[in-house]
Amino acid sequence: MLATIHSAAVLGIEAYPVEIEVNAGWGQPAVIIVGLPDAAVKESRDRVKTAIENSGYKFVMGRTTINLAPADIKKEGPSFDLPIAVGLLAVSEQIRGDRLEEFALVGELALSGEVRSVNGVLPVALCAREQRRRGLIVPADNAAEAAVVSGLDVYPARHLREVAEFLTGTREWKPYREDVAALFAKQQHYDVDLQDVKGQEHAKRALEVAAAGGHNLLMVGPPGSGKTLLARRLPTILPPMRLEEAVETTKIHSIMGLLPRGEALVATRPFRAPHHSTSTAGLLGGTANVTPGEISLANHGVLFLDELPEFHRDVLEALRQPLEEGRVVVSRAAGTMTFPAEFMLVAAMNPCPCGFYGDRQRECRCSPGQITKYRNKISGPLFDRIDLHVEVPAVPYRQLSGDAGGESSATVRERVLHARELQYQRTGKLNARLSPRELKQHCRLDEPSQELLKMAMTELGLSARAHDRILKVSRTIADLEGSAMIQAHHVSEAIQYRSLDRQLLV
Amino acid sequence: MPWKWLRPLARQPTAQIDRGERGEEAAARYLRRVGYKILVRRFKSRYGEIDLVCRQGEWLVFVEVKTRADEQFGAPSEAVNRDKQRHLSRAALEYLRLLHNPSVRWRFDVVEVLWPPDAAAPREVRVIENAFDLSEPFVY
Repeated sequence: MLATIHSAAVLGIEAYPVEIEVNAGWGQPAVIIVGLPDAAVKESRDRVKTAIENSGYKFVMGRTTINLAPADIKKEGPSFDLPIAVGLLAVSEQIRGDRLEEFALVGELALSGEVRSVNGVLPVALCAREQRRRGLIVPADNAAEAAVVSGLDVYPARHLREVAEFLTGTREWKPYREDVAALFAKQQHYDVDLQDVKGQEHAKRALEVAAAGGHNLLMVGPPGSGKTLLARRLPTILPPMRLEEAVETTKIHSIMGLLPRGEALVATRPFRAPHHSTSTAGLLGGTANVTPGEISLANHGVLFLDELPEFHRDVLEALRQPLEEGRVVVSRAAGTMTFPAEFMLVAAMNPCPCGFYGDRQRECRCSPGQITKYRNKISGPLFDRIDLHVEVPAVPYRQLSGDAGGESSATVRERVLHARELQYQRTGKLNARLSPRELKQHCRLDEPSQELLKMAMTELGLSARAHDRILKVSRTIADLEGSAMIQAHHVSEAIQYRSLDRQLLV
Repeated sequence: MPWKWLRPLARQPTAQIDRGERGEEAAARYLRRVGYKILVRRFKSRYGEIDLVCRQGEWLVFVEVKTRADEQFGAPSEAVNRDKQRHLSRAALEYLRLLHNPSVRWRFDVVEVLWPPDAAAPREVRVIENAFDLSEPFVY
């Protein structure tokens, strides 16, 4: 007697189909699981046995062999519990097996027979659709997530008995439907707003420029001046996520089990702020079995690195390639995976180890040597990839107590959207991603601005590296204004955003 | 030689042996009542003895019966230790070999019989289905 159940497992950020073959033979009762199962899969034998008995079915079998095909990929996690249980029921003829071909199943079982949620249901659903299954049976808590995939009936399972009765045909079961477009629109809402931040108009402007051109941003300021507060509000002024972007980001969050229970999509741009003690594997992805890291979780959103110089140097250096390519290739013993990593980098740092260099109220206690050492923790090539540097000074009391909030996120977002549209029309990409050639073509300066830039370069001691950055940023500022030509005042604003190059602070 | 004199005494059934035999009877009666068909009693092989060989539905069941007066020194089934399991395993495989290894599902059950010394009938009979697996060297 043989039964075949369809399931899927996640590898990287995609799922691959897994066939679970259950054979009940003669001999002494024994359950053998083959097909490179890890400890969690092997343990499912005992969970499944108890769950079947507690659901009112019998576990009566001789020597039972369970094969997870393809046999050469390591299977991990408890998500095969449900398909294995259904396979055992089918093979012992306690349920009818003729409809099994139409469905794919995933789910973890509790000892009581209840179905528990699992990670990575969205990729599994996409895989099931590719395999042309009619339906997918998932844990009820994951149903919303799976229902995002159109053209697939999603059945939310709460209990093994429910699934068994449905497959036998003694239970009517309505597939779970989700109006993805409506849900998507409803969830696109942030709890924070740019209006919450008092003062810091200069920094807000820098955020706007960064958002408009997709530039990476570094904020320098004393502790408590509102760097984190500002960074948290960057996603609110970015254009709303498109559905494809949301699905891609949701896939990664789904694999890592970070989707809130019952939520279908990551509809708002993610904001990830890993602690500075993070390892390279934590940031880029890795560990023994290849899982995505923080930069992939921040896909299509914002990665915020607070206290930038406190990060391990090798961790920061490892960021360089993904920043350039928008994806990260992770190689481990388990295999090589490519994860998407389209994110905006926002970093914050204090101007010196004590934090008060350049502050108007408090005195800095650091020696020049200490300050240089602190700044040098961040390498030139990394600075190279950060277009905007902005000082965020402490806010004077007068501004704190006032309630002049400034512009709301929605107003700023309008301008950002408009500026991005201009960029896409011109080159099909954001200004931050312009190649040197495109830079030459699209960022021509008129006579007065050229003079200004030349003067700035010589007087302020700016490097060639800074020159290109200034051109890019002034292009974005001009776009925000809707101006086709880059003018002198655009350039002069852009020069301001190179404070660390200007060496003014040191 | 003193043991020569003791020999006839040893042949007398002791209280323990007597209880064991009565327990086996009671177990067989009980199993028959719950749907087992007794095929062989006290199957003896080179390697050991199996108290009862039964058929239950499509299963071939090797039964070990353990009788105790009370549970003061633990459950009767605790006495089916690793050594005993190994003997039963070898005997069971011998039984299957005699039948030319048929394609049947089979298992080991242990029946616990509680029979207080002066009672006329057992106080309790318990069946532990699929009580243990084939012991180590014989796993296939």
